[in-house]
Amino acid sequence: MIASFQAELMKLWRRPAVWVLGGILVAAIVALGYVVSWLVVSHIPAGSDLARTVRDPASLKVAYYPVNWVKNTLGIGGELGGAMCMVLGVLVVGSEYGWGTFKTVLTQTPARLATFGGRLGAVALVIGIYELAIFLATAVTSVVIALIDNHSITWPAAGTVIAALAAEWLVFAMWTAFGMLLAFLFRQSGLAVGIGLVYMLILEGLVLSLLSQVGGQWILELRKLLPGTAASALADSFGQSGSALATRAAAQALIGAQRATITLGVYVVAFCAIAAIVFRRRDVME
Amino acid sequence: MLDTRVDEFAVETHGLTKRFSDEIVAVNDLDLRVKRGEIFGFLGPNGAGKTTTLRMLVGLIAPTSGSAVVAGYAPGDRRGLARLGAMIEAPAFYPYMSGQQNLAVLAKYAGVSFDRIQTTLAQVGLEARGNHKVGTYSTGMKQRLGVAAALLKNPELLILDEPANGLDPQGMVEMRELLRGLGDAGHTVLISSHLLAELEHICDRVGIIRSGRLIALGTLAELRGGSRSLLIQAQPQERALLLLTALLGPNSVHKSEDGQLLVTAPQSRTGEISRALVQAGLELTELRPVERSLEQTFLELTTSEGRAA
Repeated sequence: MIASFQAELMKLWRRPAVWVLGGILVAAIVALGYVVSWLVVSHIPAGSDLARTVRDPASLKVAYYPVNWVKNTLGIGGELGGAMCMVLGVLVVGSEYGWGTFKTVLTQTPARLATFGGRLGAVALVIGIYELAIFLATAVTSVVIALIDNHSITWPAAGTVIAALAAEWLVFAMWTAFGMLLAFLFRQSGLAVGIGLVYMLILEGLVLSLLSQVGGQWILELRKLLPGTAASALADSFGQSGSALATRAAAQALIGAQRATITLGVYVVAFCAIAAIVFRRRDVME
Repeated sequence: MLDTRVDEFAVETHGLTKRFSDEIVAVNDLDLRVKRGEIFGFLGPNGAGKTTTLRMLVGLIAPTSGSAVVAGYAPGDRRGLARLGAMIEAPAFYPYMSGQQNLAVLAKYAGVSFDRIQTTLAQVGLEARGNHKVGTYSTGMKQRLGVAAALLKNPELLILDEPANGLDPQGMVEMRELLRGLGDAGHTVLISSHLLAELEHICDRVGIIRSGRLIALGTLAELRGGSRSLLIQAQPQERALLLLTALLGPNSVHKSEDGQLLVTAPQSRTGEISRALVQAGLELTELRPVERSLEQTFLELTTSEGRAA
């Protein structure tokens, strides 16, 4: 298992796509969650809808200062990062089918489950690096914004930061495992990414949200069981993002942090278990 | 713990079958034995079932029925895989890494020292390009890297699927020398190909597969049919034809298009035949065994109903 972990890490470490994806994720979160929305709030055009509804723009800008760093980062990063991690999960498995490298690996080492475990460990480390980079970049950006606005710099409590890091890692891990499972099931990247995004953004993000407005209690109960709801609820348990571009509806009302954590944990285990069974039992034809 | 298993066969299959659907039987009841230390050619036309067989032997796919023992263990067993190196179908590597880095990843999986990387790259003649990205490699270079990957563990059994694919003539000669050298060093080599010329000069024994079934198995001489045909030139030819027909039977004597007589008879009867011709007062100018070319044998076996040797 340790040898497989090291081998998987060597592959991921040298793979440009992994770091391009991470770079885009960090840049997108900083841009959308901080820079663009802070610029919008700082320069509200006279006569615009925003100008009519916002009486005190300075109160909105507080969302971008270090004191709100954790909840703003989780609010934007949880959703965007989840999608990117799903893509990462697909890539680390789907590309092996595309290149035909599973056969190369599995003729060197027989233990498919050890290989799978090593891959999980390496990906878990990568998403941890993504997460640290996100929090670091947003922290620096929030400090810069606070300095520009001459606002005092106050950080959230250390315990809150640690809990937020753990929560975001769990959210990322769940979506990564989801992506890996899809790639194992479809034995390719393209279809897996397509279906994953359709599920995340269209099915759970849009259709079920709309249906829950008109469909009654059972749809609400169904949504409480879904991974996206749990991910949003866990992020929102740290407080709703005040960013002007935070578009996600609050899910906190559906389930609490504890249930969200358990739900995410169950999904991580289930996705990994199904993926491991599929990988172990299926013929390697590619 | 030191593994002291010593078996006569490096590969042994019994009734090995892979059925993909009711209609598609890729490998059908295959009984194959590859002796330790031999270079065994696994020959067959495209789609005959060679690669499916090799995939089963290394544990990439599970047989529908039958069994196999590879390097002393069931296919896919970690102890067996530790003793074999394989390249199945087109070699596949991570294109964003160099050949050296790819081998390092595989060495890590296999628990092999990184010292082996340069050795194997040198063995396949890739040391000069080892630090270049695999994405820049030609087909032949990828093929060499595939063989290098198979050699990483310095395995006692090598399973190579069409290793000369994409190699230029010089590369094919070098590959043959490499494989022959491995055979001479005591490695068992199971090599598949649809190209007879690739195997003809290096293999100790050959198995021919067609439509998933083993239709011939033996040494090259055995597959050629030994020296069962004799070419005879004697004058006058018509008297020679009558005499030989009387001696060997009507189905054993044929007249070739260029007027020579071809006789089907064991080599042990050569003396008897020559004596009979001379004693009958015929002028015997030529009598020699005719070997069927392996190419001819292969084509006969793979395009018509085969025979089990």
